[in-house]
Amino acid sequence: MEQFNMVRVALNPEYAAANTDYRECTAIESILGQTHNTVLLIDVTGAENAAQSIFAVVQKIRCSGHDYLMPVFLTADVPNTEAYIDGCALSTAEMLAIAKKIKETIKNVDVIKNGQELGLRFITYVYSRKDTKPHIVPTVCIESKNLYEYEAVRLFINAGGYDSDSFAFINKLRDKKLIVNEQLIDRIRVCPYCSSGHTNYVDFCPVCDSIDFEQKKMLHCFTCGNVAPEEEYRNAMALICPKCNARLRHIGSDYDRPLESYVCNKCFELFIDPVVAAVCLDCGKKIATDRLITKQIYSMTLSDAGEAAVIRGRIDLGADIFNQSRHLDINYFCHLLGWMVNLRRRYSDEIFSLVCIRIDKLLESENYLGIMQLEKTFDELGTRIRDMLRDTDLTTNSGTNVFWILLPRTPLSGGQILTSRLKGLEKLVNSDNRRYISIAAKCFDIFDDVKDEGKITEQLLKEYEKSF
Amino acid sequence: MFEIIMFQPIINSQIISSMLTLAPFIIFFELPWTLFVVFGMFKYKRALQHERYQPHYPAVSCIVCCYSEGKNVIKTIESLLEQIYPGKMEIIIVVDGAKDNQETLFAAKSMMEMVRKYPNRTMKILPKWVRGGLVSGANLGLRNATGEIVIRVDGDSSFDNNMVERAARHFKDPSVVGVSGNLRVRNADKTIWTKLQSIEYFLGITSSKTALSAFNMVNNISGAFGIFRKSIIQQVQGWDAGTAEDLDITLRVKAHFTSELNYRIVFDHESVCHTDVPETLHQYLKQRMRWEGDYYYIVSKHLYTLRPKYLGWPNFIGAIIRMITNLVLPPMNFLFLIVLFVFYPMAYSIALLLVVYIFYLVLNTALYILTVVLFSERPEEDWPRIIYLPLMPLFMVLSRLNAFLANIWEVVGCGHKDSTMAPWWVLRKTKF
Repeated sequence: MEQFNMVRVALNPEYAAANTDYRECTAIESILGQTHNTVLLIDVTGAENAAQSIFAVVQKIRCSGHDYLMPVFLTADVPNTEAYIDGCALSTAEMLAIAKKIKETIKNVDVIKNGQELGLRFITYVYSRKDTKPHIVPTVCIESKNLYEYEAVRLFINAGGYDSDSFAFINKLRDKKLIVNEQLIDRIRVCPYCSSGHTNYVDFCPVCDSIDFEQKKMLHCFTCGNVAPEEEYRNAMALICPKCNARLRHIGSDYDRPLESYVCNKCFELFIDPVVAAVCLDCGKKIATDRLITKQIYSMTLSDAGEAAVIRGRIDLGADIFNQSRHLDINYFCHLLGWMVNLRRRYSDEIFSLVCIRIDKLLESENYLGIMQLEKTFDELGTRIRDMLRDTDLTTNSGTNVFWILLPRTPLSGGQILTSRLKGLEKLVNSDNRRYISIAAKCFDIFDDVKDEGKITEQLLKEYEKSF
Repeated sequence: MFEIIMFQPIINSQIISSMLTLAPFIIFFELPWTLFVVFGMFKYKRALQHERYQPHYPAVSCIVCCYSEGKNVIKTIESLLEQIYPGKMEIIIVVDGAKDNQETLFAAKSMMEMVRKYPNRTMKILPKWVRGGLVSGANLGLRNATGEIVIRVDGDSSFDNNMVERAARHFKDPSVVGVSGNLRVRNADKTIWTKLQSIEYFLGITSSKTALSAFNMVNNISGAFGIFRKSIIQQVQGWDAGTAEDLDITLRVKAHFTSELNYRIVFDHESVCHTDVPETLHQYLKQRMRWEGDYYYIVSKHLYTLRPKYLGWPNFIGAIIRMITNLVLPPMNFLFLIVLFVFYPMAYSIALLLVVYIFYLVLNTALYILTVVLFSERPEEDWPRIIYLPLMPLFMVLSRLNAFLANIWEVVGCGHKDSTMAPWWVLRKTKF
């Protein structure tokens, strides 16, 4: 039976309970990189700002490429840690049972390989908890622009403050169909200018936009028909009409209150309904409430494609770059390629070209630029590539970083023009004259080579890829 | 015209004779009473003119006893919210038999939101699911009252917006234990009967009570609109079961008038409550049948305390006058009419009645004019009603006859047990 290495870290050693069952550890770094069977117990007794301390400890673990799946438990419940802790106040047997379950789940996964790439590392972590804590849950975070944060994500993207956007990371994974929405948690409205959820709803004078106004009760004198604010009628302990001097004693007989209205202390205008608008506390802009952008906050779960990516040990980058609706599975792409060849065989004017793009140095780029900058660079790259392609062009990928584009009704010369433009993107995405991302592209006219072949396969495409 | 000329000499001689017959009654009862009222009105007015206004805004609890008023309770609550009163005011809505009076309960609940918009105003709604009667509702409200002053009102009344302030100011004087407010008829212009009742209220309340108040002889704090210092109500242990609870509690409070020095009940003519009155003669007579019979019942209950030792001489004399008016005069009026028409010639009877009529018409008119001039806060409404004064003596005779029947019914049939103040299963158990 597999043995687990139980380790305890006390946040406040002075208050820690006596320990005979676990190996005591003072620095997290000392337990990283050793064995995959470590189970960490954090003793929170007497700790001030326990949540922050726990976050810092767990962040180191989750950012480690070797031990990012380590189960972490607490000796007592600490608020705002439920999203990323495997359990609290559990017995040793219960903790071991969870650790065992996690271990069982990832037995077919190459943990070290998956730990090299951020997105894959995160979804591998989610996959490992599919029997214990399968959901990526947002928690309320007032400091965050989105009012919520995916704390589990923040651990992985090495986020310290709340200016980094766990939502952008989640959205990327969702766009790649690696995770899907599980349950609607909340709905927020954010500023259309800076996407901040920190909005204050204020009512304004509809005439001069001032917030300095007050509600006035109006009185209607039955004797003369005068309608005026109540203050104009007040005379010591009586109500006297300012117009006809009638003493108003009985509501319903002498006077009534037709409505409540507002008087602006700046422009002195009378109005019935103030205008309600939102004021963004981050950028200071005033926004009409119907212009606020509605954002739905979901809990997430790993999709089938995500599970497949974890087991496969690879996330396809195709979703970042190409239009999803025309980005095909490799086998289907090959099948279509075969069909194009047959078409060309029958109809000589049905020419087509095949372009291959290879994007290299992704890992180095991530290490240099950081994941967020790399994501932004990919966004820009994807936008430019999509702009170059037509609606009828189809794409696929035969590896993590190798993509194929099928250009129908395009001669070799046309494909070569696209190829040169694609190569030109390398200069655009790399700044400071440094070559962070390497982009290689080549156009092929494969008809002559494959017209006698029975079937186009991924293997055949790999042969072509090797040629450049 | 011919008949009048024919009978002229007879009438003239009969008139003189009848006037002489009536002289003792006028000299020894009506005139002194009238003079007393007039003198009292001027005394009250003088005191009013010399009054130094000293603001006094204690916490006030308004107990609104509801039953089947339905949405009418909204008007009551609205007019309480309209009070121009800087002090704290809580409105306690007691809905008797709330299970069967859901409309009243929901109407009261619908006003909670509005109450919240008023500073210094709170409202409690106490649904008594099973009907227990007005007195049980009032006592429940008293138990929940947190104010220093308690105002008990009906669920279909409304008030002038200075009602609370006018009443509360009197309690700055620690000797004041109760304030009798003024009652006006809200539906006065509906029918001839409501017009006559509005004059009756005006003369019977505004005229008389100003005079009584001047001598600390206020006879009754109305149940529809009664204002008390909470401590005195608690001292007499709240309202008693049975009918005429207003007269009953007034007498029980007055029983402390000589045991505690200088206790006073005052009347404030400007603290005004508006209430609807019966619109048909039948409804009016039915209502008065209940009210007039209650007096006999109350006297029976309080016979022991109707002494100068407990009430003090002024209030004892007031109680005697009241007893004469309510218990002696009605049968006397009835007998008078029987004897008149049976034993005296028709011409004489008519002449006598004519003299009586003219006498009361002049008296009422004089009192009415004086009251409007001295005390009316709505002269533009009161002056036009003067044209109905010629009908008042006849109306009063009708009322007196009805009172006579009511007294018989109370004596013979225990009429108070038929009261609608409480359900029969409560009334039958009442010890009083």
